[in-house]
Amino acid sequence: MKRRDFLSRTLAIVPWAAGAALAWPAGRFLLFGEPERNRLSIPLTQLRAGITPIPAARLFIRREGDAITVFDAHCTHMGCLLHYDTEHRVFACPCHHSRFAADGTRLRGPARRNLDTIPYRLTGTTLVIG
Amino acid sequence: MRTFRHITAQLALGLFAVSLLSGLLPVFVYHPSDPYASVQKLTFLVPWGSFFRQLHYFSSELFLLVLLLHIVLEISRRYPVPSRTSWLYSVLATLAVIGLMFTGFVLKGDQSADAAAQVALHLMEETPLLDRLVPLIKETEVFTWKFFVWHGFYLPFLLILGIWKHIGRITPRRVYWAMGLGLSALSLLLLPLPADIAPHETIDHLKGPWFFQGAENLLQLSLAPWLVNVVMFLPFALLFLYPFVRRTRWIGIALLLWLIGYTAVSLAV
Repeated sequence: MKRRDFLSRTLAIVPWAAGAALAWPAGRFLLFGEPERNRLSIPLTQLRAGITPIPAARLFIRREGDAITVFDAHCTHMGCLLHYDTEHRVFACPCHHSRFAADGTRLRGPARRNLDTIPYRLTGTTLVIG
Repeated sequence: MRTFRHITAQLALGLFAVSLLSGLLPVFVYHPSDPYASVQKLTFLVPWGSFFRQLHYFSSELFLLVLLLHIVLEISRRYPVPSRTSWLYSVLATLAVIGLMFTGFVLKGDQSADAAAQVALHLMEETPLLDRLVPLIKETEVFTWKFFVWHGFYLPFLLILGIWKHIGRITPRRVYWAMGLGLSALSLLLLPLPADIAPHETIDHLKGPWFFQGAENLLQLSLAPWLVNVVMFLPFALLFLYPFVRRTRWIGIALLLWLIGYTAVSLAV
């Protein structure tokens, strides 16, 4: 093989080799997912008995006496945002019409799980979520 | 004599040109960090904002419809299959159009947009392999940011590349520019823009984009999310296979059956 042919063939491979070498870092870069770090502090005095929606954080807080439960406001079926129907005391999904009781238990619809709960801790008179 | 294939291709190009140009202006008003408010500002405050939003919306909807018609004609009338490269790029372009329509729907930032995005993310998260791709559209800080990037940059690039490689040009002939603009303007005058649903408004039922209505109905019937994805991706898999098989007739029949079935499911519930 002539030197000219060898060089031109070698150079023709360079873009492909460079592309292949960059594929892994590019893939790692694009598929990097940052974990959610939502942290929220709510004074207990702001929590009324029953269900308190926290729209900005996409949560519902249920308070029954001293017992507090924090629910993720997304439907466990496909993740649509739930509404709390105060009249029927159920969480309603406007997408595929699943229904959940006020304690988060699944009642009907395509969802198969109860509502997800979010861990929290009490610091003095403040509820800290996340 | 011009064939229907040629006419629908050129008309689709005309509508794409209108969609692309009318989408260039709203970018100056749109903010991914506050999508709903910026879309309301565009619609009700900025002079001619509503006009450009509607022109963008209707030209895009018509573009998708004419593109579907073009594909149906291509399959059903059994024109000679173009080169494999040309065909594969056309499938890539079709995928880009669906992606553009979906990301555009999400960018309006109202409740239906948010729900559509959540459903799409869940569909991906609950499907093996696709779950790895979730970070491509999920952003924790500014939810619509990655949808915006896809809609405004990557997908238009893929679409233009696909069209260019498919037919060797991206601008329509003059008469089809006029037809694209005329049809979009006519739709704008005769049809209402779907109402936006404010983020905290209580509503009984939310609808996603019309072309995903079939998937929504399958989800409501408790079909497993991965199976819904199989149903949604099946026509694209068949389209990719089309130029590689000798008896394209069977793939054509399968695609038409899928289209009829999907339309029936979409209208059923």
